[in-house]
Amino acid sequence: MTVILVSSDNQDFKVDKEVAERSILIKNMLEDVGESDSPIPLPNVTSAVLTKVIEYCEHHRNDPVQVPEETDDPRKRSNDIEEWDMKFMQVDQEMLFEIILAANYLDIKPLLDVGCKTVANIIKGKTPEEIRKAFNIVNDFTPEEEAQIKKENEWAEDR
Amino acid sequence: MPPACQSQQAGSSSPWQIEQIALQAQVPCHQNPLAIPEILSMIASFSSRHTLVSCLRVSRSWCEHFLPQIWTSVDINLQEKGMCPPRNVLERHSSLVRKLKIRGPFREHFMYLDHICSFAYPNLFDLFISSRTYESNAFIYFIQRHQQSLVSISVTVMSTGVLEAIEGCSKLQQLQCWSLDLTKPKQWVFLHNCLWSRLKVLCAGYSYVPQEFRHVHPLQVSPELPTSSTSIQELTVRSRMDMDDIKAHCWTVQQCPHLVRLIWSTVSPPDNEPALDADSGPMHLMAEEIRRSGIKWVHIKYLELSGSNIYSRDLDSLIRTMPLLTTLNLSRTDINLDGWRVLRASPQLLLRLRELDLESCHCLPGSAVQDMLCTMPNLEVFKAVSLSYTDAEQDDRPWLCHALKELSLTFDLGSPLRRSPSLEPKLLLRLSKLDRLKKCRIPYLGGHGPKFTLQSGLDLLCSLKNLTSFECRITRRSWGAAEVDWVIENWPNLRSLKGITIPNNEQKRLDQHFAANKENDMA
Repeated sequence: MTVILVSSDNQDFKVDKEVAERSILIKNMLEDVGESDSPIPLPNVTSAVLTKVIEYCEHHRNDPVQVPEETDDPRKRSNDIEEWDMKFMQVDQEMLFEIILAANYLDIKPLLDVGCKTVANIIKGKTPEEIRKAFNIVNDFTPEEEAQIKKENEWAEDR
Repeated sequence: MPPACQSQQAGSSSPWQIEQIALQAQVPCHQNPLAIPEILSMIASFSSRHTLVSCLRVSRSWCEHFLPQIWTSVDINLQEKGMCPPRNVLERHSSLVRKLKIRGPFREHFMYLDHICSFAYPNLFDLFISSRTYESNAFIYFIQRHQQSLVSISVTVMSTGVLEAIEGCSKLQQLQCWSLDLTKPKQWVFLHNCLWSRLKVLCAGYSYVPQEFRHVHPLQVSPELPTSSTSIQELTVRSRMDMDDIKAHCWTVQQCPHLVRLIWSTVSPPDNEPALDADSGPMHLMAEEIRRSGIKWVHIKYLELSGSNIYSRDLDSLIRTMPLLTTLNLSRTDINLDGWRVLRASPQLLLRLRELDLESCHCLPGSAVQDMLCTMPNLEVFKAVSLSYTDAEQDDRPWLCHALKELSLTFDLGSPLRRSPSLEPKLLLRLSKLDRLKKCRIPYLGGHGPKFTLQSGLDLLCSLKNLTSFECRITRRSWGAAEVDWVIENWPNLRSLKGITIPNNEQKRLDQHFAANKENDMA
């Protein structure tokens, strides 16, 4: 069975139901309305981003459903990204952010994880100034405040 | 289900209704995901603490989201006082602390300790206090004040005060205390009355029992005690070579039919006491007790034994009581060929085992180790010593363990005359099939066969894309730029490479590759 997804710029995408259902949002929608061939509008996702998202879902269509982790304890690793996912995420920053937003909106947890891991990898090893530059963030600390934060938290650096 | 659709039957929806659902599901459209708190928190969860400290300083908004990740787990090691959090800052962030680890020595730092123990940590659920030398009332009051939130407590010394404070912890599920002695009637009564029905994990142990408490079984003290615990899923016990200890521990293990993990070790008796002879060793006594009782642990997946005198018949008795066992750790036992025959006699066990640790089992012959690799198809972790060159070469069966993620093999060095040039290519070929391998340690492989080049040696292993650590003398000659390029390209996740001589300038390049991968491991 196939479903039709409609992007924000009104492009139709015909995809297998099991592929579309990698998105919990769409899965719940389809469960709520039952059998239907009506197109599903996705007003927050452009066609360019939806193409990428569908590519991801196609590749992972047979993956087991991700079980939520029981504890908040283990510090998860940003470098345990599968090779295919790593290549998939080799996009410019604008597209990376769009994919993360789409994954968040469509509720595709594994894609959101990979997106966040990719951002974590970008941040890795950078100084605060380099991070600001990478993501165009304005420093709203005074130099004294920034020094104070460094001093208060430096005990944690080597842990 | 959105209210608008609740009355709809399957197959009767209209485009208008689907559109309504889609619109209801809309989240506010952000241009920048880094402005969404949940996403920032997720990114923080994938970052090392070193990176988190940099992120704190980026902006006020980032500081707000990254701060909880830093302060959720606080490890205070008083041996490195310079790396302890300042107490006024700890007080300010105490509501963020969920795990607190305090390690001594305490005597020199009691002022600091008393201060940090006086703060309220409303969300603290995991407390670890390690010191044998100092008992502070501050700790007792500390536990008392956090009785409503603590889920896990680990203490080195179990005094009456600490014991009473723990008694009031209504949510406690995990207790670790090596001086909680299961042969002491008082501690038994405490355990049964207060915790037996709600603990999930119990680690109890081996402190020396005073003479007056010997020969008293807990049930003699309080026969009406509840016996079986359906809540305990993980039990760690350390028995001395002492009949009372062994009996008490046997009895405890039997009272936990819902165990998932059992870790049982034996320690030597004090110097002034005679050791039990081999035939009445703790494992044998335990196995006898279990045989007599006819008990089965249908939930146990993990069994770890350590101590000497593991007889094959005892191992057989134990394994038979655990039909779901998937992980077996016998690394600190003297298991031998007879022991392996016991495991091998159970085809279901061979299919079921995911992890087998025999890392210090020098009594096992090399033929048994080779046999293991060829008979357990679902192994994910395998550690063993004494694989013999002869057996590895002459036994032409392929290794079946294609699911292996971690492999540690140490060769029985034997005589160099027994090694033939065809051994290493054979082993490398077998290794190359294990394409899920992450950690590979075969320290004595290589160095005695032909000089491997990229073509003849390394290229065989290019399928091992997931490798994170590799230790193997794969070639005698020193590596150059080509080999280092090869490693960076073919083993992108590698963090450690041992056993190979690499010139300084090339080593620097490799180190940079490893450093990028290690950054995430720092946490």
